[in-house]
Amino acid sequence: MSSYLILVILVVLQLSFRFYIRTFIPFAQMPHQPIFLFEMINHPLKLSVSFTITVGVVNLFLIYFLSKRLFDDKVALTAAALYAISPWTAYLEVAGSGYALFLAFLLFLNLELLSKVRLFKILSVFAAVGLLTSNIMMLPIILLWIFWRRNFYRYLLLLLPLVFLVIYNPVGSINIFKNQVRLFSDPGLINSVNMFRGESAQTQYLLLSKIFENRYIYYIRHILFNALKHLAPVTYFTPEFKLFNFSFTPPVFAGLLIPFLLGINLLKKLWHTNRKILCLFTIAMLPSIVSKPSPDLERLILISPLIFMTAAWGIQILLANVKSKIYSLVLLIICFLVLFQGFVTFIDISSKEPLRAQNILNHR
Amino acid sequence: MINYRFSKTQVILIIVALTILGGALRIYDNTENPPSLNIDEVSFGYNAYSILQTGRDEHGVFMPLSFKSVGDYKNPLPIYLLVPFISVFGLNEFSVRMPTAIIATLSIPLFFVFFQKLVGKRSVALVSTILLTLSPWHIYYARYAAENTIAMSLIIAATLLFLKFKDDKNIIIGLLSGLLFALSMYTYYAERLFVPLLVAILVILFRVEFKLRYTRLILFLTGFSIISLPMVISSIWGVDSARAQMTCICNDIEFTRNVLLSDTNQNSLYGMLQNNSLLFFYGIRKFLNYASPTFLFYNSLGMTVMGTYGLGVMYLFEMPLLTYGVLSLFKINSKVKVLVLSWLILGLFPAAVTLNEQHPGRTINILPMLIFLSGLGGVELIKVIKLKFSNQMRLSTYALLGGLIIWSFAQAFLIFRVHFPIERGEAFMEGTKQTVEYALEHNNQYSQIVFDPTRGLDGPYIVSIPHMYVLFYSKYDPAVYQKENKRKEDNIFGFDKYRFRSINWRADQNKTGVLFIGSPWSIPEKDLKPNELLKKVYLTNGQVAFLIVSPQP
Repeated sequence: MSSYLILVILVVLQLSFRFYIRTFIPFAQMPHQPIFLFEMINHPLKLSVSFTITVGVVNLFLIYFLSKRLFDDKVALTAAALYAISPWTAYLEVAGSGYALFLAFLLFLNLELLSKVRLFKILSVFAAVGLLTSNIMMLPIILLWIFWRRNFYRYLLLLLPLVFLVIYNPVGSINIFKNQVRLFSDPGLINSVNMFRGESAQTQYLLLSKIFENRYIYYIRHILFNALKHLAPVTYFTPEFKLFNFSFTPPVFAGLLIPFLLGINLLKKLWHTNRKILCLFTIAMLPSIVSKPSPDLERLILISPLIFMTAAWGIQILLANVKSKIYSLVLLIICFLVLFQGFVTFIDISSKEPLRAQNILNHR
Repeated sequence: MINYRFSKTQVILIIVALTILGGALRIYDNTENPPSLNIDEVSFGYNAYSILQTGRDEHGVFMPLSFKSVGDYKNPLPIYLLVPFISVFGLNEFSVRMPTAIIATLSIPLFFVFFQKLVGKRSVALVSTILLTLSPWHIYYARYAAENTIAMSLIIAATLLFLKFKDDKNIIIGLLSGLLFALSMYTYYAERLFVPLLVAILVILFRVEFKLRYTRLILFLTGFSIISLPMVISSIWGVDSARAQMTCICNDIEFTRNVLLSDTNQNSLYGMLQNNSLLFFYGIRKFLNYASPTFLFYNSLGMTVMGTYGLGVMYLFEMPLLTYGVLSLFKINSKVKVLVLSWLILGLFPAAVTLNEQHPGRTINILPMLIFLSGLGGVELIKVIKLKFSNQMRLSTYALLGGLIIWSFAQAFLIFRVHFPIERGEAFMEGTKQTVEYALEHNNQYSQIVFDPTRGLDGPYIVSIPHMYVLFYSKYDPAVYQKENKRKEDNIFGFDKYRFRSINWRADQNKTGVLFIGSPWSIPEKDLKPNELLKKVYLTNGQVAFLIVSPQP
């Protein structure tokens, strides 16, 4: 009972944070990918934003239930709390991003894998229908799901939204597909390789260059580096890749890096107990890896539950060992850093963030 | 290699071979590649020449502990180190670059001894030394006069001596260790933040070893403090504080413009608290940025054009080694673990609190520990592959790793040999030497020789400080230069018949008998008469860097 009470408090905290952000930052003026469903019915942005904030509340509960299934109640509540206060999820929901909805779909999928309750499948389908704008991301998930299922033909129904989209707007569908995979659209990529080859042609090392400096090797390297950037702590715990190209708030507060590192063992545990969940989250990184620029924090939101769960696990490890001086000192440092950065972020959202957003809009 | 036990003689032979190989990579053709002496190098060289000739620096200060140079207050040790070389070989590229190359080469056996002392495993030490010998980071900063390479070598030697000191309690070794630690702080600015913290960590970690001999530890600290004292005073209250002001993170343009939005209001307490809080987290971002694959493996060395492919501070094949090394670190002795982790964190601290997004020069202090972790990871990974992989998997892994190693070395070779001189020549002030040589050759034909200090292919954004190159290549008498009034007519800086000012061709085109040397931005080629253009100086990439002209009547 007390867990649900805490969840209600978290929901209130979550909604307050989102409405606070919405008051100051002019997301309404920012270009972003709208949810196709709302575009189809030609409805204003406000409805889209209210919808995504509502979906955010649903996500909070889904993360709680998923974490509870995987671990225990304490980790689940901590993970849910981290979701509620994270600027990453808050900004995306307030911006009306369709990826909040896709996150719901992914979480439903994870729960379905764990519980096998029919209800989740139906809900997953509804979530998929609403997310037609980013159809490329449905493919790896559906393929993976189909691949792991024996009676795969039942799940071909999930492809219906795709069929609907292609029939409704074939040219748009092709463009959407092209725009989703922007990895190789950077002319700088080819120019760099050509420049290298041109320079080597002036020397006696042209043959060596032809072998080791060909574009396919560099494509592989490019993908590899894009993938590696998604494993770097700087991506998630600092504003290295700015949210919506302007924000100085980090996706996840820097102080949570320490419990995250402590909780890394969780991933090893998941690999042994629930490999499919881990694989699903790993595949969920793919859309961001093939983006330009990469990482794309909007798409990368799909992996946020794993980060929150890992950090929550780390916090529980610290709390379990709080009697030790070192652990209690580390916990104190984490609390101070998180609260301090939370406070700084809170003030920054009302003072400088709106100006940063306006600067980007003026540039456009 | 992992199970085979090398005899002492074999190990020595391997180390000698690695030293020779490392020396070849660091010394071969280093006077031509990098393509030119950069501003710091000519400044080091000329100040060392001035010390040799007069005992004073270019500004006339006797045996300074801080060289004012062009207002950046250079560290003394790299300059004093050049003096014997210049006395023997003369003032040229060889004598400027050779000390760093030699110290870097001799640091290879030093690193082996250090790694072995650190972890006690010969295999790890050998693999780490091989990785160091071939390290692009170490090779790059050994091929030109880089103070950070010398400083890092001093720190390794000092730490090695300290580790010996804690075992032997020999006070001579202790004092020598303290001396080397202090000297490293006179070699490179980053050491002034890093070394005191490192010494503190070493003392705290190994204080128990000095249980009955605390006086020796105190003597070590006292010796270290006394030698460091002049530098500390200068850094806080003296001329070196200017350097700290110049490079402090609070002056970061990216931070001021995009984070503070140019609102640097420090008048109100609230404003000050808010700005400094944002600065704190900006520093954390910079700090964690060094743990990103972009810095470690992509293009952080800056040997090619930014935003394109290049060399990171480590090879791509070291990635799995480094990862496994970090995991293996937690299995070894806790003091070594703490030392390695502390070293890595503290080594990034100077770069995190200064300007520049990613500065491999300021962070080179973490190189030994990264190399150590890669070596450790390599040894442990090979053990795992041998024990747990099937034959087929083992062969596939070795093939993949081997392919990656070959590709990494081939790419590094092409970048060092081909792309770096072409793409980064301008960063090393390529072309300035040729202009100075022309000016010296035709010195008698002109009443005045004017250099425009600005240059750049994309625009006149680079300030090249040509007067240092003139002093260097002309071997200008330091005694004369020190005493000469360098503010000439119209307050223009110059000496002898050389003037260093912006060229305004509209006004200057009528000044016959004067030689002008400037970039195409200051001397538009289309405005020149047929006989006025005397020479074009090209970069290795084929673009025009300078025009040498003289107005005709």
